[in-house]
Amino acid sequence: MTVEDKNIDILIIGAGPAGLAAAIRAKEEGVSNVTIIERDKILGGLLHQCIHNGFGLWYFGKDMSGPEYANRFINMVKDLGINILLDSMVLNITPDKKVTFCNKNGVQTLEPKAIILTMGCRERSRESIMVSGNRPAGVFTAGTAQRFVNVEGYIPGKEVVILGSGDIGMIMARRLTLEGLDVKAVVEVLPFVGGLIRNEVQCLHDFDIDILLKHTVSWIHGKERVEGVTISEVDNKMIPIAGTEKDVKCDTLILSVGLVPENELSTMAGVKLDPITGGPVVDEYRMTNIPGIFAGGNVVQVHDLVDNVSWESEIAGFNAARYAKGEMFKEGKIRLIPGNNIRYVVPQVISGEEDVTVYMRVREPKEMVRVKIGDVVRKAERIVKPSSMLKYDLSHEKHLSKLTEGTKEITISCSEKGK
Amino acid sequence: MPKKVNVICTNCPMGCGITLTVDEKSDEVINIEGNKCKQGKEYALAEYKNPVRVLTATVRTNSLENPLLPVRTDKPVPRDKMKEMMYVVARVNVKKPVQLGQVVEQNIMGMDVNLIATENLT
Ligand SMILES: Cc1cc2nc3c(=O)[nH]c(=O)nc-3n(C[C@H](O)[C@H](O)[C@H](O)COP(=O)(O)OP(=O)(O)OC[C@H]3O[C@@H](n4cnc5c(N)ncnc54)[C@H](O)[C@@H]3O)c2cc1C
Ligand code: SF4
Repeated sequence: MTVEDKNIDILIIGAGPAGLAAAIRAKEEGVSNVTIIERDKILGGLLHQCIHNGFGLWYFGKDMSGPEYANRFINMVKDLGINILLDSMVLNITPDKKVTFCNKNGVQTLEPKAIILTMGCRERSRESIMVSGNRPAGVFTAGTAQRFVNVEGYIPGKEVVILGSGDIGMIMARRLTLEGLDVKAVVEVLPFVGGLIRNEVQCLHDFDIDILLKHTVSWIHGKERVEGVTISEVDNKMIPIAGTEKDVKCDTLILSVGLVPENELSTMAGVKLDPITGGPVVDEYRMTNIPGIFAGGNVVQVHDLVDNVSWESEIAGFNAARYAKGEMFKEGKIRLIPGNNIRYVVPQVISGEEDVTVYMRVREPKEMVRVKIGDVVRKAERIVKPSSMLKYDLSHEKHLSKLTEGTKEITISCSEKGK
Repeated sequence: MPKKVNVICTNCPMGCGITLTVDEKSDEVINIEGNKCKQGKEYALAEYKNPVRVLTATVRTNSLENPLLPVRTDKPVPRDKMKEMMYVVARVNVKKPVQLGQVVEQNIMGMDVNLIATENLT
């Protein structure tokens, strides 16, 4: 794209699965100039390094690897004539939607009619969880290790301890084992595994990798390079219990301790963030508090399934297209409030006048529960877990039209049956 | 003497712990319990008789920008063969260009399973 080509209807920031799905959906609505801007040299975002399978089971009804899933969307983006700006990093967005970016041609500014934020997530690091000990080489986040092993062709070490039982950590445990490394243990501070049951079985049990629940790494040893870690049991407040320390020899510590939505740009644009999700507060159109700025995918909430990333971003793409064509949206009058055992709900506000799919996560695993969305939906669930996002369709006709006039809040709760 | 075998069903987030009772002599499954639905029964039987997984990995390339190409087996392979297969995968070298879906190694270990590219290499 040339610098003169500035008549952009919709600018999409980030070309991961979220950005690609949003762009395709927007273009399908007949918008003429849809442009994706991406700091990497290729389209696809995180998916290129996720070489394992388990993607697309829901969206395509097929078990695919990350790159295979990405390529389906990349091909569509190319076929539809969506503009692509690679190797270009967005530096700033203003509340009146001026977007400044930088690439080999220098710093430039674009003024699109609508923006879709799809910048994804960043990993939490050693600093964000404050692991004590020395500061030797050999401490990696799981995603960094994944990039080394799957894309760049390096192995991070020989003997590995993994802290955190999120999906990425478990997937790396299997990957490193298959590459011949010795994975000594996966250590998890909570009393339950953080990731999906499929990954626990296929990544840990299949390879007899130990998982230590209610344990943490309390010290990192080594001067130049990691020489070992101390693993301690923790109490109910997650404080290491004195006397339970065990030293484990290893040269690598991998951290899989969560993701944080990457929202520095959103904040510059004046987009309001939800303190729990770390992502923008959005309505059912996936529009933020700034008119014309939309968001989808991991930048809104940390997803465990890419299929939901694609679906959510299609909502943003569809509505950004409507916005760019000058359509008006219904006002978000009703707030969705997380109640008992619900950590967050997305979208955070709705108009109550349209069909909407609500996504949520629970705080703690529970069996035989009832999820209540105000008085309009009651749904029995056999099990709920923080690792599995819950998703419910609210129809205007069947549910939302039953709300009393002037409803301002709907509380969503998850309680054990009979209580 | 019947023996007990435990498997965890991964079909849904319930993750039921299922116990199979198997006759040691005939290897016949006599009883399955712990599954909260029918799907779990089939899963447990398959996991006991022949647990299979798709193997995903990378192979070396002659490209400077992309030293690795991601690959997977074109069908699920026996779980217990995965580690052995990695030794075959480690020796595969591909030359660009390679198309997504292209077979990069045929009939691994004579098991009628191919290794296919899951990314384009240009
Ligand atoms: C290790 C790992 C394993 C996973 N395994 C599975 C699985 O087995 N099955 C499954 O269904 N899902 C899985 N997921 C989830 C899924 O891959 C992610 O949810 C998905 O990639 C998120 O998509 P996204 O587009 O929101 O973000 P990303 O893929 O992170 O894309 C964001 C893009 O934005 C770009 N960007 C950010 N800031 C800027 C800027 N300022 N300027 C320009 N560009 C910018 C980035 O470079 C990146 O390309 C996994 C995720 C991870 C991390
Ligand atoms: S047996 Fe049924 S309920 Fe239990 S994990 Fe399997 S599919 Fe889910």
